[in-house]
This record gives sequence, structure tokens and C-alpha cells, in this order.
Amino acid sequence: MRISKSHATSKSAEGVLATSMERPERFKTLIEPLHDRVLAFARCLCRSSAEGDDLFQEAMLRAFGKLDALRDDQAFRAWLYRIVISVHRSRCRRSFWRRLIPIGGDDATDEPDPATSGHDYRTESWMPGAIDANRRARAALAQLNAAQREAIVLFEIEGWQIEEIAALHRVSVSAIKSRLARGRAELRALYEAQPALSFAVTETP
Amino acid sequence: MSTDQQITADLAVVARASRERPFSLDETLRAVGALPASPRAAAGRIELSLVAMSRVFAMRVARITASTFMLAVVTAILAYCAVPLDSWDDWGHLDHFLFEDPTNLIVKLLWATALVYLAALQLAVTAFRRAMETAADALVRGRQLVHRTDGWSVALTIAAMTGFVVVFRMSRLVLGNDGLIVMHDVLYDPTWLPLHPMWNLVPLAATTLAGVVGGFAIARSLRRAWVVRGWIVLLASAVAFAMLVIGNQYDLDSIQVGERPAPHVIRSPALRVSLLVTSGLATFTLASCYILARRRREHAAIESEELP
Repeated sequence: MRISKSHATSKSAEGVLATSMERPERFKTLIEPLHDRVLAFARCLCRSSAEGDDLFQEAMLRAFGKLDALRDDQAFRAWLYRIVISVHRSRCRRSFWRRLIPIGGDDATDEPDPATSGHDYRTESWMPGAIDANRRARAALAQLNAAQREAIVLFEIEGWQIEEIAALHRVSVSAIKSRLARGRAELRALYEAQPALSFAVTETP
Repeated sequence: MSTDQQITADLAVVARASRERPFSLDETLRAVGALPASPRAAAGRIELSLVAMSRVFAMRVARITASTFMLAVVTAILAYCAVPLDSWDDWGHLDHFLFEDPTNLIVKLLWATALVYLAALQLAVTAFRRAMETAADALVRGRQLVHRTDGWSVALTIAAMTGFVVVFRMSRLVLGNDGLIVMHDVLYDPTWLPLHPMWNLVPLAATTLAGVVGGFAIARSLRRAWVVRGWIVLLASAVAFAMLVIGNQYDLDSIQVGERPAPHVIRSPALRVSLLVTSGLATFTLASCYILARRRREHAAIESEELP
């Protein structure tokens, strides 16, 4: 009995070792095609890219730590997005201070900072109008509740199907449709409530 | 362009923006510890994570300190505006200051909370850095430490502030009103001490220090766009400083070595506010420039780091 227990323990230890050896490779294989998209998704959920990067890192840490719990690699995409959403929700609930003074938030730092990035956005794709649009849309998205924001980002920005979003959130298709409709209506109301801001970007002739 | 079209166009811009300058896959794998840990990789990970973690940590700290500081400043200004000028002299009484004027008490507590938090933070940061330097899995461990040290700072602050309130409340119970008057004389109006008149400048120095701390905290917490505009703020603060010095020339002239200025001069709200504002603005500007320069160095260090 003792021998078999010892054998089982050593087998289990070998299994853990093998798993820990395999996990990085498995994680790398699974994350590679999704990496940039998930990062972009995390950034879209947050008001600034700095917070988005932080959210992404936290989600990656959690995903890597719990990878052994994922049985079916085919489900990795939904599993990973669910983790991002879960981290995002917990961060939304977390801190009063975070909302009182958004750090690096209002400037929506996706815009490359000429001081640090080494290139001048004014001469490239980052025209001032785009910066305004980015900032404005992020400010409006930040006003939505987390569920609506996630649905809008997945559907409108990430290009997911409604059925996929419903499966991800484990809710009905009609619930997602409702979130999308309400989110869009709220965005419209926010834009219309601030006409000066809404149309700060004038079309250049 | 209709509102719906505008929203769609803006969301497309957000989508494009969110794909700018992504992390590399290696960077992510290295951060979560999924790359083989060659000595060089391990060293690089620790170095990179130290930068990343210290930034996350600094952001949290700055947020809390700056919030407290700003609340204190706003409340103080409101209180200054609300109290009639005739009653300035009453502000010096410790008992009045601590117990009778609730607004004043809140202001004092807010100031104290910010300062105690900063002190607690220094302890936490020291422990944090020491632990980070020896951490192998720097990012994972660093994140845990950030949460832990953040929690400890808050806990220490709450404990210190509770102690502060309890001690003063207890002292009132023990000493009674007469005792408080004695305490007031001892602490606030020590004419019984053969002090050099320069000691009168202590409250003003404390106000200046508060401005410096607050300016630095706000600079740490504000958005990068403001930091970039630091030179404009520097110019504005120089102008403000000149105006305020000129405006308070009478008060400044009265404070000279070898004379004991009248209490109302030291307590002059205009002088205190001007010191607070100017020192805060000046420090804000200097800190902004410093932070900007440091961020540039950090980014340069990260970008020049060769991935193994």
C-alpha cells in the first residue's frame, strides 16, 4: 500500500513536472494567433491603453496560471476572452479612487506619444481628428455599463457574431441583442447630448 | 454625417488605435514566465518587470495621494472663503481647530491622511523594491506585492489616523477643557519658550511643504498630455508667483529675522494660500519635467533591450 502510494505520488509529481514543462509551449501555441486581437480587445474595454495593457497582463497571468484547467484547446479562444471579461468586471467593481482620478486615462494614450514613441503622429495616420475621435469614443464607451461595453466592443470593433457573443457570455441571443441596442442608444444619446464634442471633428475639404 | 455614422466612424478609429504598438508575443510570454529562463532572459524579465511594476504601483499611489490632497485643498479653500475675515485669529486655537469647527477638522484629517499615506507608502515601497530585486518570477510576484503593499499602505494609514483621532479624543477626556487650553498654549503659542523669532516661520514652512508634496503628487497622477505641457505650467506658475509675492509684500516684509511678527501675519490666509499655490505649482512643474524625462529613459531602456 505504501509502495503504491509512493508510486502514485511520484507519478503525480512527474505529471505535474511534465505539465509545468509543457504548459509554456502549449500556452505559446494557443496564444500566438490570438495575442494581438486580445490585446486590442482589452485596450478597447478600458479608457486608456495603459489600463488596457494592465488588464491584458493580468488576464494573461491568470490564463497562464489556469491553463491546466482547460481541457479542450479548441475552446481556448472563448476561455481566454472570458478571462479578460472576468478581470475587466472585477476591475470595474474595484476602486473608487480609480474612477475619481483616471490615471493616464483621459488622454486615451493609444495615440502614440511623440515624446516617447519617437515618431510624430501629426505626420502619419494620427491626424488630430483621429485623436479627437478616439478620445471621444472612448469617453462615451466608458459611460456604458460593463456588459454593454463588452457587447459593443465585441460586435462593432472585434467583428464577432451575436451568437458567438451570446455563447461567450452564456446568455441568450436576445439578451445580447438587447445589450447592443441599449448600448448603441446610450452612445447616441451621449453623442447628441454633447454636440460640441460630438462634431468637434469637422470634415476637411 | 449622422450621429450613428459618427459613432461607427469613431469606433473604427478606436479599433485602429487599439492595435497601435502592441506588445510582442515574446514580451507577453516572458512577462508571464512562459519563456525558457536563460540567465539573460531572467535578468531581462526582472529589469523589465521592475519598470512595469513600479509604474503600476506609482500610478496607484499617486491616485490616492492626489485625490486626498485635492479634496483637502478644495475643502480648505471653501473653508477660507466661508469664514469671515474677522474671525481669522480664532483659527489658531487648537481646541477650536480640532473639535469645534467640523470643516476644519475634516481638512486637517485629510491633510494628515495624505501625509501619513505618503509615509506608509515609503515603507511599503522599500519593502516592495527589495522583494522585487530577489524575485525570480518577477511579474507574478510583483503583482502580488503591489496588491499587498498597497493594502499595507492603506491599512497603516487607517491605523495611524484612527490612532490620531483616538489620542486627541482621549486627551480631551483626560485633560478636560482646562487641560486643552494648556495644551493649546504649549503647542500653538509658546511665548513661555525663549524661541528664536524664526520659529514663527514653521507654520509657513509646513504649508510650503504641503504644497510641494501636493504638487508632486498631482504631477504623478495627471495625464501625460499635461506633463508634456509642463513648460506652459512653469510659465503660468512664475507669473502666479510674481503676482502673489507682490500681493503679499506687506506680509513678507513683516517676517524678518530678529522680530516677532504679530500672530495674524503668520496666520494670514492670503500668505498661506499663496505659499501653498506657488510651491505646489512650482513643484508640479519640476516634477512633471522630471517624470517626463524619466519616462523617456525608461522607454528607451525597454526599446533597446534585446530579446533573447
